[in-house]
Amino acid sequence: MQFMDDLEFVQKCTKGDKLAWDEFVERYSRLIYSYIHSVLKIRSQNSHSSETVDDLFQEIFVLLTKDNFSKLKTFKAKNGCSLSSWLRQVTTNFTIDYLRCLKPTVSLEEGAEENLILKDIVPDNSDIPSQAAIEEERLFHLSDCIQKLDDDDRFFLELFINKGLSLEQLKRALRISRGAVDMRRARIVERLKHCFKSKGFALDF
Amino acid sequence: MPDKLEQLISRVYKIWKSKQPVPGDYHPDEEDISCLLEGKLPYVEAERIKLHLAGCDKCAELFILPSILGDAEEKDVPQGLLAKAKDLVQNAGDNSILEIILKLRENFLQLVNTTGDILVGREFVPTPVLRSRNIGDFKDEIFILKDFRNVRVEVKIGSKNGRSFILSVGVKEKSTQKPARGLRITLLKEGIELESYQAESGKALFENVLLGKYSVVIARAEEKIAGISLDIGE
Repeated sequence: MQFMDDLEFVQKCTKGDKLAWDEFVERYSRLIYSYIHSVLKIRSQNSHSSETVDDLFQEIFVLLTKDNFSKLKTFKAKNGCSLSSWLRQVTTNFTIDYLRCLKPTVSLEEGAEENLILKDIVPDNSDIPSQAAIEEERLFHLSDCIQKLDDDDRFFLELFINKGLSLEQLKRALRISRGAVDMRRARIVERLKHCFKSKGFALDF
Repeated sequence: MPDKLEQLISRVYKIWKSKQPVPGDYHPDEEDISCLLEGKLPYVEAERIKLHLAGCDKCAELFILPSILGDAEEKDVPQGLLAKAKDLVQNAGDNSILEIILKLRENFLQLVNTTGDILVGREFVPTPVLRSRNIGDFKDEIFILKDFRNVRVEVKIGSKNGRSFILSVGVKEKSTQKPARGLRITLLKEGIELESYQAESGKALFENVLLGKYSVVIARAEEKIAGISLDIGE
């Protein structure tokens, strides 16, 4: 039994091999259709009709084939990366672009903001404006501790804090075990706690 | 709800981030991101892209969505959409595919559709004629042929207890009706070659083929001269 690799398969399609193209549609339609549905569900505040999913599905296939398959030809199987994974990204990108066009002024991360209030963290002196500014300055002073982390740890914080990924989602994004996620989180927290203290920030928690 | 220390870290991180420069014009493409998600990028390249993702919300969105979605809930694609997607690539103009859709029953074969002509008695008839005669079931085997640009392809499908089938493919030169020589006949399923024969006598036999969707590619000197799309269900 011989396996046709993804790149060879794509090249057959882009050469106009009708059989290969039909095979492509059979193999990847479900993935593309399901992904459009999921991205719309998770990233859109409004429900979308099945017509929207159908329209996006057709547009993605047009995108892949138009101008003599110019989009599909950009898949190079670089580093052995799979066609299904690439198609997931193309689908995600296309669907997100569609949502951005719908709401060009609304951030896709709206609603993900934390309701953090500074006074919950540091002593509440906000009735004195200059005191609030001082506290902000103190926090800025601590940001040096973030700078001292290595790139991987900062990337972890970016996904966890700014993007709001759960620990389970981090596991998938970083391709590490759940135990490794917990350990990295604890290690970063410990490092920062130590650094904050070294800068004279009193932590009574 | 994170504890107070994590709230403090969050606040400090956001202050730090607000002071960071915006990444430049370079944005990783879809293949870069999918490779990163699959863990297949070389370390240095992976680190470079992660650095970009940390500062570029638009690209980061593409990276994190697959992690949030995990394995997307499977949805059936409407048949009409599949047909439209397939139609985006037209046949090469020479009617280069013989399509056969069958259902395998315990005691007979049921023909759903084909673009070839079917042997009934001593004559070959197209599917619409077959329908007009209310013929759709075939007892042991079905024989279909189709003329391509230079060759005639003859396909014989026989049932084996309703669970598998035997597929026989014969190819003749259209002009002489003699067996075509120098052919390679290959049976594929989902892009994977299952069996492939150098068919010097113009014939290939595939035995014990299970139910499913298959393609048969008939090639001469690396060039495809005919193809069969076979869908056999139960």
